[in-house]
Amino acid sequence: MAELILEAEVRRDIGKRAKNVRHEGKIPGIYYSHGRQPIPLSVDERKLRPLVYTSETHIVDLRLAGETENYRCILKDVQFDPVSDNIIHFDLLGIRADEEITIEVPIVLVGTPTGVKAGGILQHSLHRIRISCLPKNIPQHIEVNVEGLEIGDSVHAGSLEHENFRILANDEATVAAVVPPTLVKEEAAPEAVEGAAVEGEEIKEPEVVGKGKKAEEEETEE
Amino acid sequence: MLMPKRVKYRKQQRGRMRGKATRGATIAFGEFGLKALEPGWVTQRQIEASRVAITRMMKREGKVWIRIFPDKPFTKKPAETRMGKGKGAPEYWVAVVKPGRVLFEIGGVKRNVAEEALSLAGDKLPIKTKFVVRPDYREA
Repeated sequence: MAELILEAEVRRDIGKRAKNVRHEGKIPGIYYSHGRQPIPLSVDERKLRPLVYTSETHIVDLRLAGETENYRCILKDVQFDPVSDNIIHFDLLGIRADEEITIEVPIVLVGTPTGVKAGGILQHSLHRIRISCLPKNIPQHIEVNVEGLEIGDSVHAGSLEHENFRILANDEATVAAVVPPTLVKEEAAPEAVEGAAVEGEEIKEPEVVGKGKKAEEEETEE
Repeated sequence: MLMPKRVKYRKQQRGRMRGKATRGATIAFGEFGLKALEPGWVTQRQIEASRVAITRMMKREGKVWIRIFPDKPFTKKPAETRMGKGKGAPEYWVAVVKPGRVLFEIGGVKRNVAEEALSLAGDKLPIKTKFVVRPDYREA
């Protein structure tokens, strides 16, 4: 389990004033832990990037400016701006050695399935999975060996090998599957498809389920 | 082409497209996506043209997810008709798109193929778009 040092400052601008922090090029966040007062934080955006844009889980060693105490925590949640995709807020959850936590861990597929060599397509359906474990047992990621998968085979959450942690996802959830290749019909005139062929298609009207509405409208049209 | 099977009412009012997308703004299924940067109506034909462009570029590899659905009827009056006499007949269907909405997703292909495919798809749409990648994506 990788550890990452994160230097942060205690944030005075809380609530809607948190946008002042963003104007300074910093990201507002919060640290919370069981039985402790939450601490609003602000972190330099560049220091937060290795923690967010990664396919590994990290234990964060949070160091607050002007404080001697270090806080051990995990990244619990990140919010992104829907348009720019910039980080707008993050949550750090304090951990205790003896307390189980729930965390989402990335799933990494290992190997090339035999089904793919035979022309199948590998579909990675579940990218992250919720687990519950003690902090010392948090895996960096869960490796799933897909080498033996033939066309039509799949790996489910229930069949994942795991020690020292509990998988909270549904056992039936598909992690990865090898599906048969989609058959592409030979198109007579490829250039014509995008415009003309689509335009030539007649758009039928769907069935109206409103009570007598269609009949009413038809009457008024006439 | 995508359109509803059954509807409660044949015609709708136009509505407004204020603000950003609050739902469907993150990549949920694949590894790469095409995100809207402007609000607009995307017609069923434009969605189909984009889908065709993506699947053709990706050949037989990978999988495509269409994250929008045209469920709003667009009505039009016939040509050379005088104003009045009620609202026109439904002509086609559109999806209401707000900035931030993920329109298409792709999985199971290399980044450069996905980028090219989604760029071609973006060219078929009436709004500005950008290529997005899942934050925890790692090159295989």
